[in-house]
Amino acid sequence: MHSLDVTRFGQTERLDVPADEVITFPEGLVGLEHLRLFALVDDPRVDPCRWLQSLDEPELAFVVVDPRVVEPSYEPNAPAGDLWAIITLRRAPERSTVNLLAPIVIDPQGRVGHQVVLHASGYALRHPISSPPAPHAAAGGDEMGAPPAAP
Amino acid sequence: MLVLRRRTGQSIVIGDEIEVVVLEVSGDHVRLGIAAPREIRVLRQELVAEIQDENRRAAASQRDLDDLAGALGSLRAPSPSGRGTG
Repeated sequence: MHSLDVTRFGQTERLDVPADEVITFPEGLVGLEHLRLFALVDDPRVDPCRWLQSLDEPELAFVVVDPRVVEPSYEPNAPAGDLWAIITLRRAPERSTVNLLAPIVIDPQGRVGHQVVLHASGYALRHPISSPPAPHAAAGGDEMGAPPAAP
Repeated sequence: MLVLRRRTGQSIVIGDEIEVVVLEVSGDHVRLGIAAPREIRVLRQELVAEIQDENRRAAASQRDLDDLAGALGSLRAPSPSGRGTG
């Protein structure tokens, strides 16, 4: 069990994460490689999103959403698992964006997570949260390379 | 830094499993082919830097939850095209 104090909507709250809900990210997140342990936390106040809460740094939590809520046709070439996309809030809330280029994939058992980079997929790093569906761009990259990392 | 001179069609091998082939050179452009195991992440450096910035921005941005409420409103409200989950 991990117990931590987190700040939500300006208030400090106690969060208890049972051991079997801890998700390990063996490589951390891109650029945040030191963050290895997370939990997906339900919170009706942020529905339909969830918190991807760092257990290493309690003050750090991402808001994630099922990318298909934002882009129903989203079909990344990613390993099997639950897909989540990180939301970046902007000062003008309606201009907030979702990272469809580098989604979070959590294995079906819910224990191991990866941030998968879908390079040359046409998906945007900053996909508008409220906009008409983007035309589905096909892969346009000219580089070849390894496919996204598999668990 | 190791510096090697290679011609088109020649390659270098990194460790036992990674091979980088020079496919084409044209002016200041070089096309490279990279063969690596699936678990090795191969990305353009600029892309890694962009995703890194975005992750950090996202981590910082969650602190202002008034903004979050507004953003969630955008997600909850069905758009004119009928999307949204209610």
